[in-house]
Amino acid sequence: MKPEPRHISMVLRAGVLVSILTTIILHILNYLSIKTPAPSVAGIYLLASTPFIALLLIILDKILDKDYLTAVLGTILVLMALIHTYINILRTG
Amino acid sequence: MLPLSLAITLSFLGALAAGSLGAIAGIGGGIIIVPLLNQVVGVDIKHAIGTSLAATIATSCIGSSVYLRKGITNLRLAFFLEPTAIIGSVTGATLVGVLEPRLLKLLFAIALLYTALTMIKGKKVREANLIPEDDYGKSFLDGNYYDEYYKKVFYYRPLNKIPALILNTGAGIVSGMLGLGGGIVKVPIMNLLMRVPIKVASATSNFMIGFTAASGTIIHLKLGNVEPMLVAAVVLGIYIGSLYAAKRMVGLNPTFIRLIFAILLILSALKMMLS
Repeated sequence: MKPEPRHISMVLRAGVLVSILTTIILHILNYLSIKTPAPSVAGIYLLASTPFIALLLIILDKILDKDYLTAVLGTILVLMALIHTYINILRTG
Repeated sequence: MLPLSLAITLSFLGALAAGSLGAIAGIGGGIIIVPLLNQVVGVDIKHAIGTSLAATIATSCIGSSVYLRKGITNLRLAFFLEPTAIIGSVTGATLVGVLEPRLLKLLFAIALLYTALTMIKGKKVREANLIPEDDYGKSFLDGNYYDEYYKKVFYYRPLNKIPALILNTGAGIVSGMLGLGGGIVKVPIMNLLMRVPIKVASATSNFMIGFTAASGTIIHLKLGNVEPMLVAAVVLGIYIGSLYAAKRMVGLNPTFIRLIFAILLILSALKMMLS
């Protein structure tokens, strides 16, 4: 199935909702002293991943539409974000 | 900082007001949320910036979901400009770890004053570089969108690509360092410099802000500058505020609200400078 703009739109909204719910649930579990395998900031990592998940769907959509230039620019964006963030994580220790 | 339950409640209520007022006054969340967290909730400036930046991802995602569906966002333009903003954002967020909190407050106060002045003067909008339909597609960033107000499709060609690409790094630094979306820089770059229609510039900026904020947030998370529950409270507050409260306040005069808001921003800036 080809990802349509409305699917991408749904992914963005769902990503925000799931990450906020995850944050609240983890907070409640921590408050009740129930140990969880996920750290308390897991929801925020999920939130930070949401635009990139949507971006991957957009790239797929553009490839299927044969709009290769947009797909390549999107791929460069993902790679730059990953590489630059990773380098800076290493630098900040 | 206040006890967590009180901090969450205050953040939620503040974000509720910020969301509704921000929707009317036409400004984003960060410019209100950072002073709110820092001066009302008592969160230190670095945590306020990290938390606000994380909340910005959510507001960008929610806003973009509407514009993407309507086809107003110029994806190619966003992908072209965004890599430099990401470099700026990650650099800005990294700088937060080494800069003095006093200097950060001063820089934020300058950003507040700049926003307040922009609000008082009114948004400067430049005419878009529209092109005929036959000419569409000759430049790789050409775009089109259906304007619901004029009930027709507009074709446009962005200009000054390279200067815009370079200036966008600055938007990223502002975002990563001060916890703002960066829209106060990105929209003028696209509209005033590239002469993209203002609706497209706003929609594309909204989409780009999510990536800029996400990259900066990862660094802030690593530095321990994000309070997850405050992010949740702020996101819920802004979402509910912008969705429902703004609709109930349509009878109010936007110019009057902008002026009140601008005065609040100036007072907030002065308080930050003095502290």
